[in-house]
Amino acid sequence: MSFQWLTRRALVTRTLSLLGLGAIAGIKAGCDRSESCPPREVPQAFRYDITQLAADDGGLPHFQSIRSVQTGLIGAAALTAAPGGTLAVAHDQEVIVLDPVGDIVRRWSTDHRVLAVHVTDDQSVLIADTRHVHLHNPAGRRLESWMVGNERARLTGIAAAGDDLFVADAGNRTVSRYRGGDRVWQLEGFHVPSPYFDLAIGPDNLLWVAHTGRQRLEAYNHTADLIRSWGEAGFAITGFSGCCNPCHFALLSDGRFITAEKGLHRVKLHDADGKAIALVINASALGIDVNKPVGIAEQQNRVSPGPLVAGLGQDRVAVLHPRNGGLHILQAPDEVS
Amino acid sequence: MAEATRSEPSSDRRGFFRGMVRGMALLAGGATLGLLATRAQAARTVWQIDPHKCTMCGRCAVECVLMPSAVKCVHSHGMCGYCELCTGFFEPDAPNLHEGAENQLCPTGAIERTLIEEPYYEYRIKENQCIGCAKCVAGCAAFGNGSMYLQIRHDRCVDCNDCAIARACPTQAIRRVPADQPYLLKQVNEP
Repeated sequence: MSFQWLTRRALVTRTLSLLGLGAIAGIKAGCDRSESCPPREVPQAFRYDITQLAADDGGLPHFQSIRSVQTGLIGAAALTAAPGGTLAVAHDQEVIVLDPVGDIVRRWSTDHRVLAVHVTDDQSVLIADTRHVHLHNPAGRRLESWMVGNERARLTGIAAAGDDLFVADAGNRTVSRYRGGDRVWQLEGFHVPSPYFDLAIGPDNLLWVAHTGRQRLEAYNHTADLIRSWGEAGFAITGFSGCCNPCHFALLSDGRFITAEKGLHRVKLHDADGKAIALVINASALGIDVNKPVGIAEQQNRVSPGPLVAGLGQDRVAVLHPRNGGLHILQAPDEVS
Repeated sequence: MAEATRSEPSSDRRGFFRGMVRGMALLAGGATLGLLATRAQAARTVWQIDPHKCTMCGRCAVECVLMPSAVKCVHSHGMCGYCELCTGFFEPDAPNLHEGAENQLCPTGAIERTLIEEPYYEYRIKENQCIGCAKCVAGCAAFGNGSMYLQIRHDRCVDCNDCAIARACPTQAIRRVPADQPYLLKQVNEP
């Protein structure tokens, strides 16, 4: 009898033990396959984190924000200062003119995507699409067009001085000077890894070109001689980060520079010799998360992922970010005014 | 002998037709089998990463049942800028721009950098060393052209029914694709 009890007890114990083990195994297996289980920890060594670098201001004074507005111009390709303190924006197939505080004054459409814009002193508007330059009157009526690029062309910058027209072509990695529709000269040999290749005319009448693959700005005279250059690669506030920076820049009337960088999404003020002297705006103020990967779709649509900049007089700067359409008007601090 | 001689052509003709019918039957059978095999291949699917949805979170390296992961970085050389300062290769605050280990972003040193012609450098992925962590992909996308991206390599993927990385992916970037087109490759943009 006792033997039978022992056997039954042993049987029950073993059965319960097996059931328990089975349950534990089942729970473990279920946990491994359940969506509610916490994901495995990704080691820090696998993470690409540039938050601290983007926040570093190097102790430079900051510009003060005067106004920030949401323009809705997500995907804007170019921003430039226009006479009277206004701004012109190239956005998709439109040119939009904004007043000095960012309100839309007028807008007009074209039949092609606008990649670069320049407004002359008489308020005529020069715009570039992939291969052509078009001259419009201030109301937007097209007056003239020139084909300046071949099938490889990707025009990214345009500037005019007197009768001269200067065009930057990222596709062919060239800068060309035109007069009366004829090409006067063409500069070659630039290292342009991606379609960010800006240019501008300085107050000293030099042509400044952003040599983005070399992380520097170069000045040429009107006979295509390299006069000087400045800029170095580096993630510190004194350098230009990553490849293809500065992605955009503008010259102030006193010869100082405003430079914009993609990747770290920061805008800086440099003196006429290129020394960084103030932080205009950084990624957090622009509302950009530097660790959020750039949308590949943005690049495929050829949307500039870096801030667009324009100088409004000596002490005021406009910054438009194509990723969120935010326009910021900023005032220089007293230290650098 | 003469009858036998007369009957030979008749027998040959019948044999010929029989052979032809058999041949056609075999051909039809083969065609049916081939069609079925093609359809079976077309219907079969495998896992793949959509590079346009990938957020380079690093989970592919730690969630795959294989060690190292079947996910590898692939590099579209047509999209690459061949930069001297490649943010997919160098640490953001690299002390120097050379191949020293202290400057490299990849935790396993799986990217080979070769000078092509000043100032152009080529970057190649050493798949045996790549663990699919996507650190280089994030660096490339943040500053460069996005020419580096992740793909599941089907020479090693065991094609689990319930793919562990697909389950862990925060953006559902991993999906089934036809086995006869097992990769989702980025295209070089034409201007």
